[in-house]
Amino acid sequence: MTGTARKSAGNRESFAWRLRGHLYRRTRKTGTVPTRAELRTRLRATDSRISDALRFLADSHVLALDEHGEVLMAHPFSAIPTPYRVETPVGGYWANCAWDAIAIPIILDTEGRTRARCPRSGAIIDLVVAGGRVEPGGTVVLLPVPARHFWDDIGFT
Amino acid sequence: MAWAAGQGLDSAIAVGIETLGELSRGWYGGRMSDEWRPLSPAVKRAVLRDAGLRGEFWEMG
Repeated sequence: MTGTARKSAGNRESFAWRLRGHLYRRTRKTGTVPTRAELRTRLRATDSRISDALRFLADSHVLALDEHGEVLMAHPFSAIPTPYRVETPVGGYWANCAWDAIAIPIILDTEGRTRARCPRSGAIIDLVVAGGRVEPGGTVVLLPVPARHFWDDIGFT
Repeated sequence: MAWAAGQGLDSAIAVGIETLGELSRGWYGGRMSDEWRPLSPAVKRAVLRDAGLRGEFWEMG
């Protein structure tokens, strides 16, 4: 790689990481994962540059994109409604799965409650994260995909 | 896990939510920081180990 190409790649990655930081801050603040158009406006960048950065982050397994190149998952946040709505004192968020519903209050350093339905019994379960504890104790979550295959089909995982 | 197998989830395992809380602290820790970068495979293995998650299901390859 030439010096110029190396510098270009470095700039690309630097912008991608800046975009990632912005995306997570906006998600925390608004409860919604920003769209490509919003990122374009807020970061004053071309659509091509935004798309390129999102592709880099997706290839790095930092984000998952949908078929239109929009962010679908910024783990543990989901850009679209799911069965896992996490309510916290700092806002409400969509989680990708039960694990992520537990993770959201933890990474936001707050408390949280998610009303989820047990896929086996159909019972409603209030997953609560508070005071460093996760409740109700004894509840288990089914993880369907072995760790080495998490990203083979991240939507299914 | 017979129920899971009946759903076609032959590889599924059940994990307690307390363990998932521990796992989340390591796996997702620092995610809100601008300085966060993906965990290396070695760090991921350590996070899993620290959460008490061992066995073939948790091998990172």
